Amino acid sequence: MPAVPPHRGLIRALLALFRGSDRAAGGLARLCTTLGQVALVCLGAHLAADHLDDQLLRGFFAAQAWLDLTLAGPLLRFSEAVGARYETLLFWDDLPLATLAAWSALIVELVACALLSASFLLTPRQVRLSWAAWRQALSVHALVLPVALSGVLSAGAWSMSMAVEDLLPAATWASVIAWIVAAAVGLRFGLPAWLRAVAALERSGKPLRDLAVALGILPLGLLAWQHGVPLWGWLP
Amino acid sequence: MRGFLELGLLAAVCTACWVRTPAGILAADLVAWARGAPGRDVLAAFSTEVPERVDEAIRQAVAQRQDAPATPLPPGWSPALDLAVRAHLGEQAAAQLILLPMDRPEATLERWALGEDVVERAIRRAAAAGEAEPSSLAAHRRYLPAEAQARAGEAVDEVLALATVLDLGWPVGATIRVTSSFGWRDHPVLHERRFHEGIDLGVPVGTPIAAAGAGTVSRARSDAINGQHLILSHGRGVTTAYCHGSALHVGPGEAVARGEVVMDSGSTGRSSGPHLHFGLRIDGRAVDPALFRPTGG
Repeated sequence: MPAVPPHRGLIRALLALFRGSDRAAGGLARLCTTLGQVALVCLGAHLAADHLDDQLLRGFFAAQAWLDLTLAGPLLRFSEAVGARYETLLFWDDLPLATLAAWSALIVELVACALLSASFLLTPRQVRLSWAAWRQALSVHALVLPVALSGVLSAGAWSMSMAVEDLLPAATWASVIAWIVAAAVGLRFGLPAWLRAVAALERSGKPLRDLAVALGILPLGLLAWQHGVPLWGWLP
Repeated sequence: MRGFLELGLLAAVCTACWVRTPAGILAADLVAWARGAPGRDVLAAFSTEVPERVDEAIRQAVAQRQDAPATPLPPGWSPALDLAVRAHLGEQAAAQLILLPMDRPEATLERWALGEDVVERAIRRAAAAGEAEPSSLAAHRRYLPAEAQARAGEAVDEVLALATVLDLGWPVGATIRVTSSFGWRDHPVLHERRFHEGIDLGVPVGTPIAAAGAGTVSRARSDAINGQHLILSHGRGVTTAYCHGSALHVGPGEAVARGEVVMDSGSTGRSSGPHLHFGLRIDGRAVDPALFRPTGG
């Protein structure tokens, strides 16, 4: 009987350990998917919200200038006529606009994250995407959700790609790895989330609620498409 | 193998979310709160352009200006930029930076602080996302890694804000005396303790008041407290205010040149006599303008 080399047993044991722990890791697939999908939504929504912050700040400055030009004079004359404190009337004078814009963007971001995450988390897992079903469910929400969610998930995948690229030295292979990670994250977490959310769309019979949800996710969805998807620079 | 790959992907996405997004920061804050540890500022997740830590640098720059030798500077460098770099980044950094072309200070400072690769990568990303001017820091800031954003804030925004302040002139003759200083004082009209967010310069009614620096008029109006007053914005978060005038010569939105007469002094508003209230703010925070008073006055 030939002698079994001692290292073969060790290799077998290690392989068994690897397979066992891999299966255990695979058993967490459902939890992994859910967490990964929510994290991807958060990443994408934040990339869009960072732009929203800047746009809100520009808007606030413009509004402040407009109020100064149009309302400050009459309000000052009024405050002097009635003996009121003009600082109270001219409330916009010393508002911390940068902080206000950041907090507003943060609230919009968190609301959008919650609404977008709920769109696929609070739906059955096994649903099939069908054109006919989507047409039956046609509403403002059914139009906005696929667009907004795809933008945010794409922005999330790109954000992930940038985070990976930042950890690597500047080289072509780093960009390739970053794109592979983006594709893996997009396909593993993003696509199933989008399919699940869109396939589960149905007529709620509550148009006002649908409109409110659509308005809650539309700004970040559009900003995610506008600034969070690395396509536009490649177009002529 | 697939299970491990999934776990790896999940770990990467969750870590990025934890580090980069407000939702992650809030979750981290919750954990920190439960452990009794200090949390992170949730607004730090937003890329910001406002300088924050220039107070100490201002004091250093002012001290250095008193005994700065009149050395010739390379093209593109201004004395104000030179002082700002020395005060905020240190002599060693100044020695390195002075060898670099300074035709676009923002780009030079950024590349020096972050390195070519990091900046180029961010510019490439901004271009891919369709930003209008990807090479400007404002356009590609959000595509920088988080720690690089913080370094850009220190090495670019704060230095250039400080340089803008150090480049400001004086609105009246340098010999005009300060009648009320910056800081806590007994208010001459209200007779109560108040913080004076500027300085009062004793000038007679009708004295021409010059813009301390080039900029745009962000406010020109009259009210019961400040009288006829102006606020000029000089960029980089730096503004100057001129109050209690008798006549304004510029309107909101107008561009003004350094030294241009923008107002005649007076005693309008809450004033106990003819004077100019001159205020200076960096990112909305009041700074003592007397620190920047020209020497020899």
